[in-house]
Amino acid sequence: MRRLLLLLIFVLIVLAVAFVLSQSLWRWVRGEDEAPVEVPEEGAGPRAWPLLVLPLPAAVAAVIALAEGRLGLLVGDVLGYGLMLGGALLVRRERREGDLTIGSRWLRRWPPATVGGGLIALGSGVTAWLGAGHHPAIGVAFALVTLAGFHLAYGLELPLRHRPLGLGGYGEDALRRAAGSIAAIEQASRSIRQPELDARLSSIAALARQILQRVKDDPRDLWRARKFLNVYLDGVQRVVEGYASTHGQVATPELDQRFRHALDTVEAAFREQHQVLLERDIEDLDVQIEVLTRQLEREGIL
Amino acid sequence: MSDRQRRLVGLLLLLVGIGVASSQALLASCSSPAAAAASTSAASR
Repeated sequence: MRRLLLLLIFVLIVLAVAFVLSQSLWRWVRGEDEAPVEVPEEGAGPRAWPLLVLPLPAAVAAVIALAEGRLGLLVGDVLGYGLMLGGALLVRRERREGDLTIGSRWLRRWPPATVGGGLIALGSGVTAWLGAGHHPAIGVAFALVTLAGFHLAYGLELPLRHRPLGLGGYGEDALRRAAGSIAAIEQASRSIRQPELDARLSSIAALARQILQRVKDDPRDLWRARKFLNVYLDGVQRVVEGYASTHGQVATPELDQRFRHALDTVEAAFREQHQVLLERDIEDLDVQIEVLTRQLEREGIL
Repeated sequence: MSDRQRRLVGLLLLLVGIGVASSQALLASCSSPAAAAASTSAASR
């Protein structure tokens, strides 16, 4: 009876959460934004919350296993949930803060989202194996299915060392689209006809051009600035064009205020992106200096 | 495959991979120890 009640409560919670999230999920799949003027916190594209919500039953399972004193299940559930939670937090952090630098130099070569995807896949495999009591081979199958799903929904990337050095077709296409977006932003800013906003948009466009130039100079930056090129610029273009088209027809102080706030956020994000690229250059230089120093030490010059 | 379709398929696979594994872990915790042991030994055979 107690188990039936537990199961009933769980089913009700799942149904309620599924109902609330399904609408948000549908908007996400359709690519619609909830707030058209604000720049979204995690950028456009896939969000990390499904990765935080889906493993929750494993956390509940761990609590029940603890309450019933079943050590084997507890270890499996805690380990599996911990891996999945860690991976999801890593993905969420990267989506919020851009390309992160984490851990040792070896680890920095790996994009955090890829590390996160690996941890999540490992966590689902461990949960299926130790938590649900499946054969280890079935656990591996669960991990592979999760990894495939993560790749399709979020994208897995190669480590820096294995990334192509040239811009390639994708890079040239991305740069062309980015240059088009910057030109469209400048075009739209001219039609707003407010000197203050025009100056701020010109500053944003200039920052964007600097980032583009860095990517052209060092194609490795293409991977570091991919979110800027693929998501941010496109979003800014849509917002600025939308504001330029509505601004002339309707005067709404609230919209003006929100647009100014959005521009603040955009400018800060672009400066941060530029800073990230500069810091990576310094880091690369640091590695080169270290290698040179070791070589000179080996040869007895230092 | 369009971007939306790719995301949707990816999400469904994640639902299968993570959601099913977690839910089965929950069921295993809720089931009696004897039944869980029987299912584990059956799976290992």
